[in-house]
Amino acid sequence: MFFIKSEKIETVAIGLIVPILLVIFIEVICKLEVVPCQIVIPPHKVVITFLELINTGELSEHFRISFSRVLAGFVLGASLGFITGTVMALSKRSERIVAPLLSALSQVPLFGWIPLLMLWFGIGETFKVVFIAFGAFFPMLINTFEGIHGVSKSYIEVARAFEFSSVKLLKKVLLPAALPSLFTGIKLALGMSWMLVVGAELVAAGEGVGYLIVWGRQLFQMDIVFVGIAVVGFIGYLMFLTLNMFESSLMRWHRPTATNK
Amino acid sequence: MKSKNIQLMHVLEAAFLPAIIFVAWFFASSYDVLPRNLFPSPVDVLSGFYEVLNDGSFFYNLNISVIRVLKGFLLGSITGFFIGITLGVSRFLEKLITPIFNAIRQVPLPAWAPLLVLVSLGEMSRVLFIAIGACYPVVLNTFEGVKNVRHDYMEVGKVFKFSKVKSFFKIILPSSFPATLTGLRLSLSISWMLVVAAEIFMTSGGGIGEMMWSCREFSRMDLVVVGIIAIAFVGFAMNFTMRKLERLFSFWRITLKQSR
Repeated sequence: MFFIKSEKIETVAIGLIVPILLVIFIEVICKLEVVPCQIVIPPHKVVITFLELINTGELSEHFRISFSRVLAGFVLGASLGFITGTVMALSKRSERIVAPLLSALSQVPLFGWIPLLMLWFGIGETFKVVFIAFGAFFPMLINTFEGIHGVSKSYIEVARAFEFSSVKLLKKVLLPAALPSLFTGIKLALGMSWMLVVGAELVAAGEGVGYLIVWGRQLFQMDIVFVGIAVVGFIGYLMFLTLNMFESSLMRWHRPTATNK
Repeated sequence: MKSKNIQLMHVLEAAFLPAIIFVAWFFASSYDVLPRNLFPSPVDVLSGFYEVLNDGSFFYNLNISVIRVLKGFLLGSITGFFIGITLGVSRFLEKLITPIFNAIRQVPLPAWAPLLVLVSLGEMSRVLFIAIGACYPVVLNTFEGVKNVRHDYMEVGKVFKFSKVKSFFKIILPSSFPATLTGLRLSLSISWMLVVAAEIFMTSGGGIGEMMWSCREFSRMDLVVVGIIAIAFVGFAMNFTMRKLERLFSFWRITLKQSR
């Protein structure tokens, strides 16, 4: 027990070496003014700016706006993806009808939709939500489809033997068995949404964390740009962690079956 | 005979939805149900395509984008390959680099664009932007590939008294290469997505993304649709080629599977 702990501390310590050296290096460079200080910002200044932005409440306001956009787009896109994926997995015919069109659409690089969606929806909230929904839709669709498609035939036969109705079959057998795959879909979809909200806010927004970064650049305040980049990275990571925790608490039964495979 | 009927049926089913959308689109635009400038008819799109083909701007921009994506892809994936190999081979470097690599990886890719504009206003920033995105999948897959080299192979190497260098080139590199190829395929498709993003976020260097972006400003929806179809097509072609390459170069993976 003690051994494991000391090893863990060692891993953390080694992992911290590079970041700390990097911070010292940049601080020294800035002190010696080797490079223009407008571009390379000493880390302590970034921290000060970060605290300032938090104190004025600016940062949390930008975050709140971005997050609500992500949530709207994610819920819209992921639920549509979930429904389409379920229908496609349950009915062979619907799969044959819908799949070619969807796979053609999914070939379009996501950022390529921006000009089209901006012409259709303007530069307001609708554009951002629809754009994010596009990104969340495909990973959710694919993983739902594969999750339900991959449910073991024997489970379905047992359910047949017990004469489950199709609703009950879906609720009691198919969805729980597809849950790990569904979670993969949710994680990918949320990560994609977070990436796209930043992208959408770079081109058309007056608020939000993506806008904060652009704004900092326009003012040539690199400290704001760095704060923005760090914050979006950190929040993306937090979302991922939260989902992971939620997943492992929801699927305690999943571990043993995973090792059985 | 019957199977032929079923096949025909399947083709019809696949064509069903696109056909309906196409017909609805055609009639809606020719009877002006929908505003024509927002929903150009198929004919408009074709004539728009013809227009940009004729004045040469289509291939000019496509060419710029493809060259740009190749530059970014090569820069990112070669760097990623070396990082992945190093992290896979050395336990110490893995512990040293992985945390900061993972921390940087959390940043959503578009967020780098404003920062890179300050690095350089020219082509460099766009190439670097693509390279950042192209690097991650190659690092991760190469690392996995090196980590998953089978132990018996390494032991055989030990029996033959391979030097470290020799066992690297004869065992680690060949058996991790299929994983690297998967990484390269993912990396190329991310690069293609990012080149469009780069051309929208960092304009004034030409390229198909910028063509679409300026068409949006002039409300030329037909050309936007042309652009979307073009980038989807090129993306598909790239992915297809990479899949073929993956299969071609990883024949030893199949034999490995069979030997198990």
